[in-house]
Amino acid sequence: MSFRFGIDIGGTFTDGVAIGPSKAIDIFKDLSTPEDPSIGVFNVLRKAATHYDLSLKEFLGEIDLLVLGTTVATNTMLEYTGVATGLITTEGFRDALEMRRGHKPDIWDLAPQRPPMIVPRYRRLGVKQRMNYLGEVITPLDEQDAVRVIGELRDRGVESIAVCLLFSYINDEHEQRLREIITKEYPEAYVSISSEVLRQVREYERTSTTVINSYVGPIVSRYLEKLRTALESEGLENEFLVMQSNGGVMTIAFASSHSVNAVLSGPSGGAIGGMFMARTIEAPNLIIVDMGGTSFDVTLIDEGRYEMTTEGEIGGYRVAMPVIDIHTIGAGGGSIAHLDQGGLLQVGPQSAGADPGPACYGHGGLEPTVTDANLVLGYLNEDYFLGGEIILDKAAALKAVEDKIAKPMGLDTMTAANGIHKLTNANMADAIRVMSIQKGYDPREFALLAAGGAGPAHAVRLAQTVGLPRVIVPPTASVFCALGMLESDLKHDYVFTLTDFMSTIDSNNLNSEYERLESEGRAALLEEGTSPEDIRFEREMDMRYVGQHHEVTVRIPDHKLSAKDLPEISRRFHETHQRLYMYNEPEADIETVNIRLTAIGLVTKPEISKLSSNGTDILGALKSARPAFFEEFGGYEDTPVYDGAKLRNQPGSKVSGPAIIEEFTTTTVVIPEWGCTIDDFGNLIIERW
Amino acid sequence: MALSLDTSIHGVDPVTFSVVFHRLQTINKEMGITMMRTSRSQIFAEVHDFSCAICDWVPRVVAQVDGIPSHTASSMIAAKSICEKFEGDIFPGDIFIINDAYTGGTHLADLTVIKPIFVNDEMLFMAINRAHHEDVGGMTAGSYSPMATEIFHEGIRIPPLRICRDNQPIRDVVEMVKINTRLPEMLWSDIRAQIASCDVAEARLIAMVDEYGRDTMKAILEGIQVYAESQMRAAISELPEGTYVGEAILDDDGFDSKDVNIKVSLKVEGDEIIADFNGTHPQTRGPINSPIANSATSVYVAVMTTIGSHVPRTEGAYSPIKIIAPEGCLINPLPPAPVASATLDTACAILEAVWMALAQAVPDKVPAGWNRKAGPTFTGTDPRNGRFFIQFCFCGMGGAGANPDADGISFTSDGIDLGGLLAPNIETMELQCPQINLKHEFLTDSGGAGEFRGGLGITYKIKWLAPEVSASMHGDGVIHPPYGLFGGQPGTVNRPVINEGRDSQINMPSKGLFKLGVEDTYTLYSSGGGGWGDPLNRDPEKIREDVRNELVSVEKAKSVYGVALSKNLEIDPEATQKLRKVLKSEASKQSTKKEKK
Repeated sequence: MSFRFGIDIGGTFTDGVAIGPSKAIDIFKDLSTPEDPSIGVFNVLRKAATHYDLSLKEFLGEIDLLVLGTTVATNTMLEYTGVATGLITTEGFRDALEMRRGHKPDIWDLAPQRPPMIVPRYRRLGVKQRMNYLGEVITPLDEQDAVRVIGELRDRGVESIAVCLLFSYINDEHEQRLREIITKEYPEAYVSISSEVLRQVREYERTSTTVINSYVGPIVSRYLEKLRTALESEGLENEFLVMQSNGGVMTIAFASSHSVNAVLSGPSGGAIGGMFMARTIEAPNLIIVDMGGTSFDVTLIDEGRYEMTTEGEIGGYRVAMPVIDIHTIGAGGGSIAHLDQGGLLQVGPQSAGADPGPACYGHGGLEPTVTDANLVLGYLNEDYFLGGEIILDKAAALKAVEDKIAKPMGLDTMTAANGIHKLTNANMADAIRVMSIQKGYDPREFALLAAGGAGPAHAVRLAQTVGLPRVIVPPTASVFCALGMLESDLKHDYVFTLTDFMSTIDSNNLNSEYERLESEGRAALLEEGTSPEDIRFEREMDMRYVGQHHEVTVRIPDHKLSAKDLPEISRRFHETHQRLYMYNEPEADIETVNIRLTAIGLVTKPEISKLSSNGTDILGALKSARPAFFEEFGGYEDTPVYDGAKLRNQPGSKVSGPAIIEEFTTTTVVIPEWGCTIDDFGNLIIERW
Repeated sequence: MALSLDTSIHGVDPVTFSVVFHRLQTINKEMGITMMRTSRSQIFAEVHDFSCAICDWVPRVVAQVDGIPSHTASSMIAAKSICEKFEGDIFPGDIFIINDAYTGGTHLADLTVIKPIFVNDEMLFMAINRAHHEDVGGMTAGSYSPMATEIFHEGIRIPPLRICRDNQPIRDVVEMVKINTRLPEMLWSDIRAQIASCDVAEARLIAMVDEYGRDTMKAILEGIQVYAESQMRAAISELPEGTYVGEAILDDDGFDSKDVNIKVSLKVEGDEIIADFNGTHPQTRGPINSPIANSATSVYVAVMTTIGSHVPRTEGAYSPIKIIAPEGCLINPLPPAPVASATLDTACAILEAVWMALAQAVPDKVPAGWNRKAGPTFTGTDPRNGRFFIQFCFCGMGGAGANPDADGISFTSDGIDLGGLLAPNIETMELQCPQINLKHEFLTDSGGAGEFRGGLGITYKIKWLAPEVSASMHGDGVIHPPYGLFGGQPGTVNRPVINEGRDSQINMPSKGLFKLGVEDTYTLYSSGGGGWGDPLNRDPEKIREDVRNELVSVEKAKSVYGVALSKNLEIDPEATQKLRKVLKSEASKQSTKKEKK
């Protein structure tokens, strides 16, 4: 037997997905253990071992590949619980991190809270040295001054140091030398230098990214080391990998020195899962929506690829390295509906969370949430929430909607509940528009992939609102991230600032810079055990019209470039600019800013096999019927309720809306005039009939 | 108190109302994203000195969430002026442009592009993009001319004009505008970015009308005004009735007028506010005169940031606020008075005067004074590439005023911009301008002392590497610092210096023209924000942190805050108590003396 195992540690649940020798996917869930996440990890692994009739030791020994999505880096940033960190900058410029380029989070709020300073001023010190805009040394590094600064940081209780000097992205000599001096003077300190973490222009963004790395690095590396030791002592033989924010995985060693790569990795498994799904069911254009208790994530897959962004942020700090472009808004099952001071209905972003939770959880919550509205509308089953693990209190939901929304607005309870449902959909629809229409994509050319516990109850109405023709609810909807992790490759991103013009750029120069980055990437992957034939490279370039300040990232052919390739690269730029901003200037010259290289170490992907036909007896899957609200009828209608597990086992089955499909962890609502077909992989495919 | 929203009179259900209301804001934000990503000027792309708005057919603003406060209400005044001038002559595919201060604009550098949006030959919306361009001509590069004495000195005046017909630029107009600027290609490509942002709004708004239908849409747009106005009136009703007076002082106009005052008597009557500016300085020779669109905006910003922070910024919200501005005074000048500095200096001072008046009515909602921008605008030719450059010195921001419950933010844009502008990176500056930056750090003790401390200003020092750099000073706050409130002390003044510490040192005034050359330095000690509340009430622990972080000096901790710290920065509680007692009694003696005088 051999297994691949993916583990995703969420706020409420730790999800495990195993793909065994039979290629069947098994799901294991247990509560997360925030005080020590590894307890939850072992609980899930034990559950799986038991399921396969193995001891934990035997099971771990059978695992070929273990991929972990860790929230340790993320939570460290969100809770500001990193280690005492120091920052060394060019003398005279120690405050860039705190100045935030003058940014105030909300213009109209006079006293918005800037996030807590993770490196307070007394731990930020300048060192005598300076380079100019060409990377020429105009003040040599004063090594005595460096020794003094390092000593002071040590005295001020620092255990981790970030170094970010002006123009170090062109010439990293002083940063490298500073690291040597730190290693000599203060060998215990964790060190990161900006020219290694993010080698690109703009010191504020580079400093912030480097500081995050130093702030979370020691915690992440200790945690992963401890977990690795524990797993190995319990029988794990193969090395395990960790999810990154860029959609790739990394080794523990790499994660320890590049921890910032994990801070936005939470939802990235979902994007990979979506990419994989796009390939499996041959639907290259997908919009993935993941709706949980508090948040709603949107990722767009175009022609089988997700998009990247360098505009990430965590806990109010800029993360400027490439991460998967995932748009998140505060809309989930726990989002609270309320009336603003002017009497206008609003939903979220405040959430009832897990405690007290929605009113219907019966834990004392009095505010109506999206889940409460869905219960009032008949979409959820009060006796079968999480397969009956939680019994919902419908009376409490009705009362909350009635008291807080219906009465003050002069509406009946049903209309008020539908208002909450509808406004939530409207907010989510706007988030989808941000990721599609705003980026020049026509949503009508995409299918909606619904994931997360709460997603499938809204997905079909949402698709109708935005104009998407099709909704896909995979059997693994509620553990979609964990599954995606098993489909991720090793991935490292490199960036190098190369300012030039397309009218004058030398393709040989481009080739040699790309080759230099490739040899860096190749070395890293080989060291991580990738065999040479599994190494792939992807090239990109950040470009803009001369004089612009924001770049557009364009893919570059991956062969040796010649002058003949340059017009094609320019053409791609003009085309992307047109898509993004509705205009271009084909006659204008283009500036290059950065070249980017992604080095990929291919990991063997699991194959999802087709289900054999088991007949199409939908009556056998019919559980019951209950009244549910649909706008089309202007009220409640008796609606058939199906057992999702049974239904999915019968490829080819068809169910027409309105219908409710209930499963252990999720409920899918099929609205009138739409119908559901089970495909060969057990996915619910819901389309307008 | 929750008001009930009676949209049913317009036949629209409240949920659809909410949905459309949010969607308008999303579209408005998307206009801003398009502008920021595509423009050529640093001032838009990095600094965000522009704003976008959506008006209905009247035209009244229905959505304005994107952009800087100083453009808030002035955009709709420009839209109105287009509608008046071109009544009966506005067609699909038309795009208009305007900048003239006396026909709906603010200062000339702010070009406003307006696109009427038609659905089935009926104009339902106007998309507006107002943006501060780097140069629109005039006697000084950068179009902030401290020596201007008429608006004709400040650049090209563009009355309401059509710039596109059938969505095609009208060459006659474009060429006329371009030839009047020092940066014709940049100006034109930035106008194109403005047009692109209006085009985006057009596509989205038409799709929305298709979805909801014209009648529903119109009913909702009416409802939005009712909604905003009722919220504003309710907020005003909660104020204690009475007349509150506030007065702010500008350094000078660059000529003979010194200590130029702006005085407002704010009368709260039922659910309306009357802001009477009688007693304000007459219009001046130099360019600090504020056209009425700019003045009204500044009053609205003062109200919307304090008692109206929850009210959507639409026309309805402003209707309960009446402004009395005598003709020929600083805030309602007669042509051809010059106006370039109005959007910074005078707008800040109007805001401060109204805030000071409001502080008497609602002490717990009004901040202490924010920094005023010092300037200068540098221009010259970059010897590295022969290209003309402009630097507006956004790196020289100062501190925000303290709030009734929080310290002011350090290093953020001036009061009227409320932190809405972004400073470029130092690396970006050195790539774009022939200069070396020597220092860019917080300035110890610059934040006004108070129970809540003003935000800090900074030390900003650069050295020029070009033979001829012109520095046009058009800022303020070199003489008059940001005010403190309720016992809080004022912040520090702006202190701009050329060649500090050399024989050639010049302490610069707030207005004037200067020349710099290779190796010359410019140093700015920027203004810290005012403090709020008695510094002797500040938590000693906070002082200890401030001292440890060198935001406050040990001396000031002792002499102003009355906190005694040991060498290891430990608080000596007994000495502190004593110190505070002595300082308190001294303060009360001082105030009795003042009263006797």
